[in-house]
Amino acid sequence: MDTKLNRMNEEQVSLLDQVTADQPFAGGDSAESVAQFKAELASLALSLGVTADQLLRTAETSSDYREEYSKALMLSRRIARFSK
Amino acid sequence: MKQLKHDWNWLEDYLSVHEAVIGRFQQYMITSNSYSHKWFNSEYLELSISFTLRTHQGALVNVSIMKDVEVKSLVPSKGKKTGRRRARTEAYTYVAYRSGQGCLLRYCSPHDRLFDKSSDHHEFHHKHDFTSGQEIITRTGDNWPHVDDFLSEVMSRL
Repeated sequence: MDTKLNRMNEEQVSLLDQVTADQPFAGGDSAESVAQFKAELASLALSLGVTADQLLRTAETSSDYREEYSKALMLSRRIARFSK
Repeated sequence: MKQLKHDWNWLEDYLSVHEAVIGRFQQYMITSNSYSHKWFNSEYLELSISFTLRTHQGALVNVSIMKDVEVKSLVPSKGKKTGRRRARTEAYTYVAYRSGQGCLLRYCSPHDRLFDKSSDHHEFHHKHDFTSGQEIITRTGDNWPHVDDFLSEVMSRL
């Protein structure tokens, strides 16, 4: 048995259980994931009244901050990663 | 063998270190918060957190951290259904900003070329620094900051 595992303290076990139990896997293959991320990006863009491309352009180049910009940047990375 | 700064870690250690770092900055937080966790498939976990810090110079700075964490399971040991899981940061965006003033700092992991045709910074870990009034982009390379480093920079610089 891994000795490190034996050293896991109660807080770590609790945190791990919480992270695993509270958010069950969304599942899906890469194609489904990409479709989902694209839909999320489109929805974010729509909420701001712009296209997905316009949202990404602004997120990358603007000095303004909006939570949607950070989300859009992360979604664009995921789309690229899971499209490969 | 040299340990990489952002190498694989046990998932439980990865999570608890992140919580511990936030705990260390709790005394400077105007709005307290803890990480949200969301699995978007069996091998990727999204961590996100937002809060406001009062820096050493007294400024109120908003912070937003988003991470995609890659999670790999080891082969289960005998009698176990699942193997122990390892984790490492796969992608991230760290932002420090002020209401009404916009972004001050933004750290980004590499990404596709989005729109800026004149720069190749997107291929590398990089930092957008708006604090001088003009955007300065620098490559951070493999030495890109842990959350701890980022929050320390926010506390001391802003």
